[in-house]
Amino acid sequence: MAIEKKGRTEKKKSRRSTRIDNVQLFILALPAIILLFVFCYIPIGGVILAFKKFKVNLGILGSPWSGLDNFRFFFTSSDAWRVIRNTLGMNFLFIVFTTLCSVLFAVIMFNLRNRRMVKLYQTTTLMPSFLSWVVVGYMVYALLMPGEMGLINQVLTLFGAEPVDWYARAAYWPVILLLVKLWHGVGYNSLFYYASLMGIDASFFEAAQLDGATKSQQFSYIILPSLKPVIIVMTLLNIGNIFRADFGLFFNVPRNVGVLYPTTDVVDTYVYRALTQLGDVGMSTAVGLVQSLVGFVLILITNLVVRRIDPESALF
Amino acid sequence: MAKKQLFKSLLAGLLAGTMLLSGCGQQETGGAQEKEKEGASEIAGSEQAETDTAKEEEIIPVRWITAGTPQTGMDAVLAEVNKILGERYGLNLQLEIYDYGSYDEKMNMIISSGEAFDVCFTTQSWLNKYQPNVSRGAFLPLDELIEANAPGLKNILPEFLFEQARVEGAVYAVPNYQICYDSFGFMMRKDLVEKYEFDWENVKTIEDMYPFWDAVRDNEPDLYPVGDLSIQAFEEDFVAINMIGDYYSAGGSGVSMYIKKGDDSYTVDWFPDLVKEYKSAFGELYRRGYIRDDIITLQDDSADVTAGKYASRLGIVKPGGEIEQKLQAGGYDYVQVALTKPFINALASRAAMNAVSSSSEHPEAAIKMLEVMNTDVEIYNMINYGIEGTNYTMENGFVKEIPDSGYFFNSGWALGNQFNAYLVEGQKEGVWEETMEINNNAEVSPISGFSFNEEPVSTQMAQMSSVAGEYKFAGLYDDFEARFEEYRTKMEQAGVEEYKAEVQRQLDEWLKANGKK
Repeated sequence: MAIEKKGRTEKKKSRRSTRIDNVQLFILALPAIILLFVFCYIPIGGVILAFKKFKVNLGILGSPWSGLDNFRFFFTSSDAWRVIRNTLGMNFLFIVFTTLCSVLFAVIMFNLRNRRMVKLYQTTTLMPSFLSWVVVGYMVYALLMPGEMGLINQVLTLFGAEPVDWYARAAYWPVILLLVKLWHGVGYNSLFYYASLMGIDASFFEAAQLDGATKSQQFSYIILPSLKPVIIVMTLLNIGNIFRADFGLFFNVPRNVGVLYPTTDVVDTYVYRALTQLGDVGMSTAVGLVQSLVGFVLILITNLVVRRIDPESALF
Repeated sequence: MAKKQLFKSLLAGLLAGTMLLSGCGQQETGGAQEKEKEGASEIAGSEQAETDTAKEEEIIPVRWITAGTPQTGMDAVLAEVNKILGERYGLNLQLEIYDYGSYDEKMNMIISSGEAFDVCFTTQSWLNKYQPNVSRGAFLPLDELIEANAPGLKNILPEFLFEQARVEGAVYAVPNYQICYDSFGFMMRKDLVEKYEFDWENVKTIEDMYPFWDAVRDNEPDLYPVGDLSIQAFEEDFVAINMIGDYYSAGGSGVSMYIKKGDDSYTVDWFPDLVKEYKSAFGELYRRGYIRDDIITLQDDSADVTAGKYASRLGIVKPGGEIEQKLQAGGYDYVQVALTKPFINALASRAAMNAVSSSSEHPEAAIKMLEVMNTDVEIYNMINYGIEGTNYTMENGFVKEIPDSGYFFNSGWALGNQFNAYLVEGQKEGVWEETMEINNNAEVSPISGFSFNEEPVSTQMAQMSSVAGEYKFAGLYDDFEARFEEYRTKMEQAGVEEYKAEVQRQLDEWLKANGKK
């Protein structure tokens, strides 16, 4: 319906004014395009560093080639498997739960009648997104501090339970990280879904109500189908980054404690830890390149799958 | 039509904006040039305009980057310094100070991006690491430069400093002449020592400290019985203090390599069994309640240090150390006791050095600046303490800081020859002579000057660094036994044996070349 409308108005315009329209839009987009070009396209040239032994005095082009040497560091390490598993596993959890919770929250907000309360809830849930991970790390630390210093342990002892040494038990951390991530990101993510819910034509709901559709029927026949494209696009984007962990979260929240590495060590933290010692640009570039390639391939595959199932929703 | 006009005005606006921006840019650079000229003529004094330009060309700027506490009043001090520098040596110092926390990252960025600078602070294992920078070509080889432009350096600094700074035959940085030996020991708060009548002077081993720590643990709930000068390295230091008696360090990052004293075959090993024993002993201290509970998750304890919350601290003991501790840790009086004999490690002089960048546009001026910093007492002290009367006063030959005057760098060891520094109030008279004396008489590692080139085993090293991070503070956990074995297996998987073999190979070569084998 929306497409039809657009077509009709377009036809009315003369070809010349369309062109002027385009030029104006292009100028509007220009700053963003320039930024994208400068910060995303030009640096792509830097990937050649992954195949070089970088020497500062010889520069990027002058440094000698080193074949696949830089890739050896990561792939021959005994932790590679664990690190990859953590990265993919945690990101998978994040994608699934963030999407679920955000959609749920957006739908709840959409159904609330009291607009002022909606603003209140949204602002409250949005706040954490503005906190830097460093700050969040300390907030979590205040909750989980070892001994009887942490808030949670104080509550536990109040009820007669033994205090838990959170920073020594790796098994708890996938859950802790997931909760922190949700707390930090759901408010922000739900805005996308809330915005597209607001875009649904109100007449749909009126018609449904007239026909006696229940809330849950409205949800599955109106809300969900209209959210589907946004959910798919967001998930696709997230999958593209699935091999790239949120460094701030994984580094600052577990406080870089060695015992927790079995569940909290991800590609980014591993590389950071190993290469801050060496400052080896080549090796870091090599890992970054692998991350990008995996992300790229995953996007292609997911999009392919989406296109098989529902061609309308595919990104390209 | 209206739209077209809008488009035109947009375009015009855009153009005007660009012009405005570039115009501003030009004006600004123009301003800077003028300022430079002003500065130059100030130095030139009352000389005529035509010689003015000649002078301007002579004065070469040197961009020197170092680590320390940034100083708000630096511009005023540099202006004074540069007056003298310009007159005496035709140099202009542009000093930049970054705090210890960000210096490493900052330098990594500056060096990796090839930004032009002249001199930077570098160390073997702390900040802006020396060897990785040498191997990635960040520093210039200095031997010829020193010979041609700064012969004074060779006269004033002892030869062994340069020997230890050599990497594959060439000197890439000028070591700052300061305390060269390591002597591990404890600093203790004097008031507590007296309160609990602890016989600190006769402490010979770590166990001797137990009565003191027991007393603090039981009676001073707000204090921690023992800490470390660098809390994150507590465990490593504890292992090192135990190893130093019988083993020489042979370097290594990610894992420390040692040679047993008196071993004529110079066999290199990482002695995992010994390390295990000492790590377990460290855990014992923790279980006894001497070490703070949250040490594993602790990232920064500077607030506790400044509040004087540690009853004792492990670290390097040196002449004047008590005073330094007093200034740093809560203003309490401290006493210190050494547990190990003064010992000069193979690469001790690399603890603080200054290197000339390969991106330097005037390497001759840079090395000249380094010479000045190491030989010109007046300039060195000005940069260290500021301007007399403004930033400090001289009282009976001792420097007394004027508080909140905006400048008091007071980290002479980062700049150059520390033995040229004026004494600060509270320091003992003759502290430099005493330090130099111990420097000269300390036991020197038989492999002094051997520096391991990590390049061939950098993959192993990167992996081992990561493993080391994971098993940090392993001794503190109840399942230490199993944990350490895991650590050993992982180190082996990461290639500790290959690393060891490479150290051995290079050491054997070095020994042969130096006629020791």
